[in-house]
Amino acid sequence: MDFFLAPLQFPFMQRALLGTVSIGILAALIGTFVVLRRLAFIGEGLAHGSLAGLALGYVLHWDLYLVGNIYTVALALFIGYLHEKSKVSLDTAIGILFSTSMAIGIAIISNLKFYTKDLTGYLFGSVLAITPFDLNIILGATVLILVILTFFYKEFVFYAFDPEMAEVVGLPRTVLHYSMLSMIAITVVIATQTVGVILVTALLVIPAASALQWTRSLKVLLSLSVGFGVTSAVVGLYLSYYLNIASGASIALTAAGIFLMSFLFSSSPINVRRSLGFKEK
Amino acid sequence: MSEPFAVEFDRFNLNYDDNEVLKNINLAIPSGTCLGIIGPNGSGKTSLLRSIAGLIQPVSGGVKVFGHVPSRSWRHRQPIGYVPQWKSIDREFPISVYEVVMLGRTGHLGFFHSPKTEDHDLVKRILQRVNMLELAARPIGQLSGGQQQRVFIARALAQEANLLLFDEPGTGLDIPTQESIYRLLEELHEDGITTLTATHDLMALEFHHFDRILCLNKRIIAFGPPEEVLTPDILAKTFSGVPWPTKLVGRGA
Repeated sequence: MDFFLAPLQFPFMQRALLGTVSIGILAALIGTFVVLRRLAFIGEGLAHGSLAGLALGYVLHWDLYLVGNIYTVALALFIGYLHEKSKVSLDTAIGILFSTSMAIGIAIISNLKFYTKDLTGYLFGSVLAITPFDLNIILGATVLILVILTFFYKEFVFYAFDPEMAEVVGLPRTVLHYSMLSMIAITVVIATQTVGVILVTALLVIPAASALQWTRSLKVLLSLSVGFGVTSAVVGLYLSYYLNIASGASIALTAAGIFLMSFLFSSSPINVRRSLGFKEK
Repeated sequence: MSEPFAVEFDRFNLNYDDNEVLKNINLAIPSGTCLGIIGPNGSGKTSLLRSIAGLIQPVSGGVKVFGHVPSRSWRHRQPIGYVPQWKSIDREFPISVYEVVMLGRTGHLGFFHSPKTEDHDLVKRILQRVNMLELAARPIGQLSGGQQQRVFIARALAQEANLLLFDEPGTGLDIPTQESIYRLLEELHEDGITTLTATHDLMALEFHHFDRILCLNKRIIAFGPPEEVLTPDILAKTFSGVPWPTKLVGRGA
């Protein structure tokens, strides 16, 4: 018991725990929609593209993550707009804009004396450095997105399953699409605090993908995904504390471990047998 | 619905990029009609239905549904049921037959409301009607093509629309399933619902009696009762450039 409680005597560790759990829930929920809509690349792209937003925040001496959030939401909306208005696929639109945005970020950083410590935290996650202000942003964003998803659950499910029919029925497809992109953007920026830019996709995609091994019911899927996300976050946090490794790596590796277990032990043993080379009788 | 016409096209022109898809469509379809739309592939049948559903906008002219421009907010109140061409759906998506049909209630429920007892009763009745009640809990990805088609028809019925659009409802399905779908069309007709069914398969006319036929090949070739429209001449004109129906018709259909 001491093993779990001892670290929590430090306020920074309390904040870290609250922050990671909150991010674990948020990323798993939004991640489920990301996986179902096959938007994994946009998560990756927005994470990398957010570099310019954070660099901008640094230059302006404003809060990095607040500026990062606003910037990345704008980037997500612009990606959606470019895809809609020009003849490029969504993947291509993401490719064009995230690399451009990242280039702007790199240009700003290379021109400044950016402390390596800040950059490392941004790239690999620095969950132990979450300030009370950061925590407020994390909790605020989580509550906001939870409320939106709860109130418009059936609309987002319809949009995710069959966007065209959602429009025929009279749902505002464009609004739903851009809201989803914005929520992904916020989730990604918030999640960089625990897992870093490079590993955001892990927290966004792996819990939902693991849950998908177990169920074909959306409600069960969402609950399982949240369960896996929180487990990854908490286990990863303790591993990070005791083994002194970057929290991003320990959280992503825990999530990957859960996926491996799900893949091996879920109810479709035939698939496993097949992938191991056994013939079906 | 007291409007005399379910759908009215007025000098309607539709382009995709620079290609003309529908040319100068002028058409008034009376309420309660059971309309068959025939024409070869690429003749604009799907575009015509999608225009009515409000999914695509013309370059000029307009369309009215029960006397109104079918804007998004209007569709929210006055549903148009649309069963698109059978396409491979996302089989991975974790949603059951029952949940898919309940999606059809979304417009009636409005924002912030979850389904009530009468919505559940309606969905069960409709599932019974399309013979899918036993499979209500089945994930959509585990159904055959014919079963999936019936689920999407059930979703359109759950909208309780006075206008239903079917795009190639029988294509790719076995004969008994096609027959059951056309039987359902007949029942809907008896209920006074306007149905528009697009097909490139003239065999559909064997299965089902449409009270009006629209022959379409980018523009209107003919529109009227089947006995007036289904003549070798008109069919040849509709399917011009498509070898086999012309021959078939030429042999004295």
